[in-house]
Amino acid sequence: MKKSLGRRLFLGCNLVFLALLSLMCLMPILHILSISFSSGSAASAGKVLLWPVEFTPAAYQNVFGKPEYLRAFWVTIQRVVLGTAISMFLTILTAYPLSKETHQFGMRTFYAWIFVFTILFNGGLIPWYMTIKAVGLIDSIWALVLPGAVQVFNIILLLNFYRNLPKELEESSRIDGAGHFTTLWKIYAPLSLPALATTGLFTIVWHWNSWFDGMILMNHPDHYPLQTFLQSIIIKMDLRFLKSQDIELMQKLSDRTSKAAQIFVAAFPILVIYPVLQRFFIKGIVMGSVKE
Amino acid sequence: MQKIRKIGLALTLILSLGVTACSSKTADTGSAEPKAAGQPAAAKEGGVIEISTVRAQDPYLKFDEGENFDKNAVYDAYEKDIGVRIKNQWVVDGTVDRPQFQEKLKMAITTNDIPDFFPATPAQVQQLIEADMIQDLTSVYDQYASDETKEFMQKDGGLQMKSGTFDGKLMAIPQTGNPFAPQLVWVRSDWLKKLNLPEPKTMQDLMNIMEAFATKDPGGTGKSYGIALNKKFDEGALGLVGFLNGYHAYLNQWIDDGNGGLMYSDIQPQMKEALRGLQDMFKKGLIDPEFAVKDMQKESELIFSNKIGVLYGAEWTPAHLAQGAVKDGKVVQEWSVYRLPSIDGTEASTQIELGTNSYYVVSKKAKHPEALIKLLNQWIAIDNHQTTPEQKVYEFGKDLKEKGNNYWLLNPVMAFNLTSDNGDVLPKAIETKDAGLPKTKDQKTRFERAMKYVNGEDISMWWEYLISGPKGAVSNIPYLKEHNLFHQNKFYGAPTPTMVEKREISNRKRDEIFLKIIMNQVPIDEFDKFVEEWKKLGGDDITKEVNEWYAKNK
Repeated sequence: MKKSLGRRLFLGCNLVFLALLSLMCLMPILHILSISFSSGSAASAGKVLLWPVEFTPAAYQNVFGKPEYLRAFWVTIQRVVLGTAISMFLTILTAYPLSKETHQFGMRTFYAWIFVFTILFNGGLIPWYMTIKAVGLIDSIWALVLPGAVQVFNIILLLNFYRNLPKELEESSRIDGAGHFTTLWKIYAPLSLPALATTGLFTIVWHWNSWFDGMILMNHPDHYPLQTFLQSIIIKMDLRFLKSQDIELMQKLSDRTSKAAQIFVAAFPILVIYPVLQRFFIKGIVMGSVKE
Repeated sequence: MQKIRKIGLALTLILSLGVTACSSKTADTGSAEPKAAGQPAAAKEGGVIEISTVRAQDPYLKFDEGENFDKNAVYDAYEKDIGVRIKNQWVVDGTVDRPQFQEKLKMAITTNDIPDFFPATPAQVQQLIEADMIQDLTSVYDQYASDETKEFMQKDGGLQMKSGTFDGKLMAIPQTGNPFAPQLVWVRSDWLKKLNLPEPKTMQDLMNIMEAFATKDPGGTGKSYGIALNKKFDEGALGLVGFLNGYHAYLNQWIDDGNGGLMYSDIQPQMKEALRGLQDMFKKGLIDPEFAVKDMQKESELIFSNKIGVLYGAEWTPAHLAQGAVKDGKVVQEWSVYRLPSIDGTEASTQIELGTNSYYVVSKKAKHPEALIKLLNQWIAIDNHQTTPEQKVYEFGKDLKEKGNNYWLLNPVMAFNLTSDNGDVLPKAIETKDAGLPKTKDQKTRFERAMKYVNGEDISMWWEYLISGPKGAVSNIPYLKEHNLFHQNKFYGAPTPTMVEKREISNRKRDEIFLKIIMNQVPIDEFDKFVEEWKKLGGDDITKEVNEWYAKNK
């Protein structure tokens, strides 16, 4: 079982390459982390690279003492929980009928194409905004949750998964007297746990990261989700038209350590969720695609 | 049985979702019914009129317990004092000139859902006039503006008001500001002393200083440069404008062509000379070779870490420098400030703009356009002379005293002094510690801050001392005014059609060529090619349009 030289060379190169790649992904996070733990003057003088200079947790005390930040965090948590729950519920409910054959569900192809159509075309920003405004969702948490509740990509993923489940499962549950709902919730849903975890992760990350809808649809900063709030503090001021009254504000704006701390705290939950859900992840995507 | 119950549960869930979704706040647009408002509905005496607007919530505005942007002491005071109830259609985080506000405003304009009044950029004003969405304020202003307001708004000779006037109609009220904001040169004075160098009186002096700073490395860091520049030429600090002005070249301005017309400053021979100067400096290693990819904050790292000791910047530059200059309650970098040194015998003029880039406009649908003027009257009155102690509420909120909560930011309409005598008053007041001299609110705040530094109470207020103190930034302004060393842009109209279309491209082209010349990647004569290209790229059309405007507005 001795490996040939070429093979070992390949493995070695591969290892180095992957190590470099992961290092490249890690560096920015490490950099932000060490800025957040450094003193303000060291950070603004550009002395901080990958290790905190003049270590201080002051930035984190500052962040957790900020009511706006915590409020935005809370909005995001609401949004993720509500949004993921609703979205997953709708995904399961939509994927099940669409996974049936045409002889079971006559309009299947028609409905499937309608869903696919929405992936390819959308009305654009202004109609999107006007619709949400017209149905009265503006400035409420539902504006962040409902417009994106039907994730067609997730539906397709789950649909393919259902199609690959043995038909006998459905037939036998039918024989035992189960209707469609029982079959879906008692048989299909538990079996599709890996696929659900995958689509769930997609949804969580999507909800966690979106900021644009919060900015456009919310009428009060108190209702901003975290990423919208972060975006508003990180974007730079236009200094060309600085009024003398703004000077004092500008002085505080250049607070890099606090910004870094806020970015890190915001990214942390997702960093934690990924490894936990990852074991389902690969299984979930692959399972829908391969037939035996 | 169980099955039915489960389905029932699911259905209830769905229904309750739908219900809560719909019941949660029916759209609180509060937009006025689209009634033609040709005549301002006569406000009943003593009655309260309502006007809606949109606001940006500055991160440094701190609300008192129980107050928020919709319900606060300042809004209450306006309602009580002048009978105007202000209603926020929406509020965003940040400031008016940031993308958050601009995106949302753009959306409101596109969907024709604008509030009664709001602040707009010059380009938006133009767009709103073309779309016929805002109303003519001429008669309302005449009728309701107080004599004080009328005088106040004309203090700059009427230019700013004129910029809000289109075809003789006052369509937009400028948020006035003081245009006299000079560029100055900032030099590390502790290094000057260390290397025994004279103060920079001429450009040659400054060149010598930069060269000495770069070669003798007074910061002891091993790698120093002469001057700090950043990728944005027109940035308020670390920009290029001050240097160009030293060569009598001006960035992005319209200047007298000597024949009664206007010409564009970027393509003049003075600009070529200034670029030649920069190229020479680059060759000598006085400029950080990476400046073209660094923004102001990034390039500033070199200043804070003692590698650069010269930069150009506006009067507020010390507030930026303080990040590196004050450490642990001690001043570790000493700076001094000088007027722009000139390349020849003629003194350098510092280029300035109109002084405003934001205008209040009133929607066609608004029923009470006069409310805007009333708000303006009240702001001008309370900002310039407070007659009763209760009026402090507009500045500090219900407790009537300074708590650092920036309550003045709540005022929905603001206009700032078009001239300022800070330069005459503050340096003298701070030198003699005479608290009787500062008169305006701004002067008093600045005086107090500088005094904290002078008395050693708060060393971090160092920056205010360098701005307002003796030999500080503003102390140069009286001299500049007296000797007519402010160079005003002669064009202050809304962007012309070709400008809107081509400006973006031609500016990018300019930045690219200028950077290449400065970084010695192309010879200086490339500038002549740029001039030709600019003319072909719509420059000639723009010049024509600007001159047409100039003929009308001279």
